[in-house]
Amino acid sequence: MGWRGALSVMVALGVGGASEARAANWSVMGFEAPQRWREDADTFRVLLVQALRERGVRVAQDETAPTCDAPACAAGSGEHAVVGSLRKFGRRVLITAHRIALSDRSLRGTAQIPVGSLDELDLGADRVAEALVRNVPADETVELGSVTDLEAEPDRRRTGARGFAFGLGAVVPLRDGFADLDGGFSIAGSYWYETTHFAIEPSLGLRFSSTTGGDRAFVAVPLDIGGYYIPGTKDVAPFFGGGVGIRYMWEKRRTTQVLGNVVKSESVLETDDGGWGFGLFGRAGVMFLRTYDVRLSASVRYDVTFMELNARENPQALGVDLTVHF
Amino acid sequence: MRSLALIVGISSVVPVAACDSLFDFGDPSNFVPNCAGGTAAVAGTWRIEGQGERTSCSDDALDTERLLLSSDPLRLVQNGTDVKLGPDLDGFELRNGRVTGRCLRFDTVETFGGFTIEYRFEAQLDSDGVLRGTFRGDGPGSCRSEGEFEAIPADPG
Repeated sequence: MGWRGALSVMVALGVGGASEARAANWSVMGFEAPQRWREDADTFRVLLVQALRERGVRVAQDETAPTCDAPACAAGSGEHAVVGSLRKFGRRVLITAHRIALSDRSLRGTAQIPVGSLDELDLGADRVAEALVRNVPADETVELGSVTDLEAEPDRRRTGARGFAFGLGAVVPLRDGFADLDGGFSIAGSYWYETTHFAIEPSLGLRFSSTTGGDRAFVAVPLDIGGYYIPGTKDVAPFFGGGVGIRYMWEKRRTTQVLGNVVKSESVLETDDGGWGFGLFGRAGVMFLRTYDVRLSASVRYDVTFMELNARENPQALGVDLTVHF
Repeated sequence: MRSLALIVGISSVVPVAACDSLFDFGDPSNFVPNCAGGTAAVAGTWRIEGQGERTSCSDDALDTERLLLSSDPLRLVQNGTDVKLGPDLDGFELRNGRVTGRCLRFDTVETFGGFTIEYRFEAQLDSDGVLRGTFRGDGPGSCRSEGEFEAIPADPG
């Protein structure tokens, strides 16, 4: 049987179980609870009866049913009895409910859900009723309007060092990008998030030639996201990694066109070109004062942008940066 | 014209010196050669250097006000007033070469990459042995060019 067949069977059983449950007559017994919650437990039973009836289940009226939280004490009219308890679970309330077949006191289903407080017993009753009728775990019954505070609360996370970083550096173009200039400058601002051995860094930079008024010039604005591995935990710690980004790049250059082979006419053409491209980079460096709030890093970066400027493809550059991490 | 742009060699950046006029007659169209004198002897090898402008190109990238002209060495053979090109050069012709007194006129036609440029040169031989004059050109395509030039003996004699 393939997975489709297995899924079909599971769906059929689920649907069949829900139909069978709705066709039967149920009794809801009192829920076991600490004495101080007695009144809340009785209210929960009322809410549960109401929630079951809203789902098409016939529930016998018996407000004097005794409390019970196990199959052995299950009793009542009809084919099924619901028994259970409200228990203190840290600061939470753990609701547990069982559906018992009264004919043989067999367990037909269990629903268990923690709620943040007694104030959420109404949500708990809805979720327990849905789980018992459909015979599914209670956490599969969540829907808008029935989310408990515990479920809405985000999971706790580990924390890391985080803050802004600012860097200055130099750019050394490779091959024939960046207007064929020998170098330029770079500044960058970033948000640096650092865990024991890993860091991520979204950054915005500006790279530019020393002059924009001459024959040649370039400006690049990279918007990158990088990830780095930091093996060391001491004050001097190497790191390496890489990332991706999008870049706006512009360059101006002067070119000479030559027409003819014997009598040659040369024309000087000043062209500028700019555009956006996808980029990749790799970076390695050393972080100093790593155990302090403010750290310093020196790094080398190789960078390529996949685009064409002035008929030159994929400008590449090396960069050397000095960065302060706040 | 895009294909033309592709075949144009785009070399690396080269510095271009300020273009002072080669002569003192200003606009090349004002040039009137002084041909008075005996028949000039122009046989020999010459190298052309000139400057001007190119306009009216359908590809705007070819229009320029800073056109520089140069040539490989051209060996001219003179027979009386007729002037011809010495050895044939692939894709290049020199036509209508004629000496009138101190003046030389000749046309060139060069075909490359499916395109043709024609130049008409008109110059006078100055006392320093240099031909100075003007050129006009057609091509490639709709381009028109004009300017001034010198032809310097590359291998006198």
